[in-house]
Amino acid sequence: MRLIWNQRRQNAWLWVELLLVSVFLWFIVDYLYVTGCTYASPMGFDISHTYRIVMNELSPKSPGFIPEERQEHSNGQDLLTVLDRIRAYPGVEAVSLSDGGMPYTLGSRSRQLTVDTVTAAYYYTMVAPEFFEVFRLTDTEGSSAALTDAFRQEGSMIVSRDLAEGIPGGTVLGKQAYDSSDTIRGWTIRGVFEPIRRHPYTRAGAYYYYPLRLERVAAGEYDGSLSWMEVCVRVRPEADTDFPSRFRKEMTTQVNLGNLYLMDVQPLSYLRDAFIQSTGVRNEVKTRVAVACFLLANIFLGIIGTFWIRTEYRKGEMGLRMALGSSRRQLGSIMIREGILLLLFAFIPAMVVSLNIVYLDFIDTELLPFGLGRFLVCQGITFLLVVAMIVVGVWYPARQTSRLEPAEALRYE
Amino acid sequence: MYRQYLKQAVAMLRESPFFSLVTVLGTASAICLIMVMVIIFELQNKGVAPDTDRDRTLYVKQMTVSRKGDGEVLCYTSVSGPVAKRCYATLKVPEVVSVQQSCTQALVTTTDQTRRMKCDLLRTDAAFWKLFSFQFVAGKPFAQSDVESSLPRAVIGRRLASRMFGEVDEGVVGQTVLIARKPYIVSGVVEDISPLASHAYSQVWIPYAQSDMDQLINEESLDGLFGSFHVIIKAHSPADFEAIKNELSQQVKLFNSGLTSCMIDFSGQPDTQMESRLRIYSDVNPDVSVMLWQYALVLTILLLVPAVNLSGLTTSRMQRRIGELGVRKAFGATRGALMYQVLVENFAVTLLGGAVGLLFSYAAVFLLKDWLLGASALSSVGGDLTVSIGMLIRPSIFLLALFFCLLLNILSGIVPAWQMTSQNIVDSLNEK
Repeated sequence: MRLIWNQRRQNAWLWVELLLVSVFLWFIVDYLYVTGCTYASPMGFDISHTYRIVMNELSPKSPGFIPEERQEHSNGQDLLTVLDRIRAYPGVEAVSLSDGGMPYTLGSRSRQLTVDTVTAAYYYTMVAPEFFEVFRLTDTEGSSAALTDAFRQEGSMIVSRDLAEGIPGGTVLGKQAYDSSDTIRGWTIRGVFEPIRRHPYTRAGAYYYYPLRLERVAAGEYDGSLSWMEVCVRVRPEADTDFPSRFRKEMTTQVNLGNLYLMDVQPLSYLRDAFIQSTGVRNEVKTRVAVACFLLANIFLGIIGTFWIRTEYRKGEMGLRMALGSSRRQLGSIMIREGILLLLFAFIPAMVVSLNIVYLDFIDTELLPFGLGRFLVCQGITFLLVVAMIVVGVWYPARQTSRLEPAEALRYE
Repeated sequence: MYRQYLKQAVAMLRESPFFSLVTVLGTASAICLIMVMVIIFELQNKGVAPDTDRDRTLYVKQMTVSRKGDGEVLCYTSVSGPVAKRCYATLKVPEVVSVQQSCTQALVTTTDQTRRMKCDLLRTDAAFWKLFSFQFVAGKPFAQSDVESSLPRAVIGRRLASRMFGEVDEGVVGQTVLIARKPYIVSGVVEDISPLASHAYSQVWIPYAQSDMDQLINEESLDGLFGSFHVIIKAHSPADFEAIKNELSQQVKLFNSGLTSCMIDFSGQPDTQMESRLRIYSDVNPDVSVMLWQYALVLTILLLVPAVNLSGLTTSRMQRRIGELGVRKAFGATRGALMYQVLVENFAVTLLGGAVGLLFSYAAVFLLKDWLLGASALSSVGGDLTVSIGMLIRPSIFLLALFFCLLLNILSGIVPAWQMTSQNIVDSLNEK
């Protein structure tokens, strides 16, 4: 301690440097921490072994088109038949039909919903009951089947947990929800599912599902826009070898029914990559992480360099210590301890400055709300990183000096 | 004098090779990162052939439909056909006005379905070919009369042509392909273009459906008021932008007066290139100056942080030269002259690091192009994201690299130069 005070002029600059570095480094560490946490949190659904069977309808100009008068069933009815055929295909575990509900689909819809006294706009889509089995959405107990069963009941609606938490007054199950399309009868909330995220770089948004009215599909109400609906299948893992080409080879004749034809079989992983690419968010995150790492590397080199030069400069002093009986090992550790003490002096005000930065709203609080845990973890990581830098910066030159004979080192004094 | 400085700089580098290597690499990495950002900014904003002349082009991509009276928004949409026809096609001030629908993907096959290729497809009009100067290998573009009479003509890219027909020559013109199961006659073949020419890019171009243009407006269901068109307006010069916006607002007023309960609004569009890239929501006007300030801030930090490290390195490297500077001072050199010497010698090193950095940045852009240049507009890309040397060798990039080297040099050299020249003559001579 006395040492530090004696050389306070020199140490003042170092103290300022450590203060600035601690704040700057914390800022970068905080960003990387938030990004990492967001990426690692669960998506809410499981797209492994799932595929989208892309169907389309022939237009009047296409060869093979069956005009309306000669059609036996509506295109929608044909689609439901095709769904049954796909369900019977060996290896298929579950098939679902959805209108904009598939994970990683482009576009989204939101609508205002009223439950009890709370009215807010949430994202929604319409899906058939088996949707939950295909994508393994689970309720708060971990069961997908419970959601499917709840959905099969008349007039059901399923909401996400974060939506439910926004409604005060106990459990939301059994309550009635009303929207602009049906203000009298409403829908009964019969299931609560774990929140889902649109992509790995964002947080979950409140969501609810309506049942897709299959009778309306059969009646032909969706004819003309059936290609926008998603037919998704989950394939058993054992049967998931080269599924797209096998399906295309064996099922094309079965699926080309009436005016419907098979366009493509796409794995959800491909659709996920296309979606993430279209939002550009992954590239943005990668860029920021790259810039953050560049700055980190610079800071590393800067601090290591500073302490290296300091240690070199103090060769004479170390020679003196060796002559007076210090062991060689102690030389390095004295300097390291001195550095850490100086760091502690700088760290407390650095934490205050950091808190100010939080107060001024300069850090990202959208993805991960600011809390004590986040602050302490990031400050802790920052502290350890700077300590590591000090150790590296002191260790090598101290070892060099300790290898010299004391007489030689004294010469530098 | 400069030759002397250069010789001294080289000698200094040779003296402590480790330090010199670290300095050069440090400078190179900083310049590399900065130039990567600059190159990406250039490519994304200035565009590549045939999508050049962006500085005299305006873009419209979104429209708001709201209720007259209380102004409640009924719909956020792209431009609808009837609106494009009545408000944009009638503009007199611009050089060219073209309308297109977003690039989608479609399956293109030969008539016997033996050869297939999934392609990027763009639906547009005849003015599109006047907007961008494509290189036609064979045939010619489709004409406005083809568009209006809904004749199925298509212009295809070279790669698609060779996949469908084998050769790429006049023989391809007049052949039929099936696009999404509908037959089209090939009217021309063009050289493939890079997705970086974002407004022009596609692999096959067909006329939009005239029925989309001629929709009847139904204010109840909003038919005819929502659509998926984008409008591109090329002016004779940027000075005409005001006049174009004025003419457009008059057309919009005229259009709105013909509606009873609805009205359309463009919220400040047509946008310039940078504004258009920033516009996400129909009714929030993009702020280009904020974006430019943010860029400037990031570049400043990327310059300052390495500069701090480099100045530390420079100081310790220059310690050995204090004696020499003391001698010069004794002979009457002013402080300014001494600082100038230090900065110039430092600049030689910075320039070396900068050249290395620029080469690294070119390599980075080539190797990492999917990450760096993959933007939202290029989502469903069937073609390769090609970056050619010609795109990267531009005078503007060299000048900017030089500018940043100079800036970095001053930032990293000023403190050491000041420190070293502020020493007492006697002290400096003593150190010798």
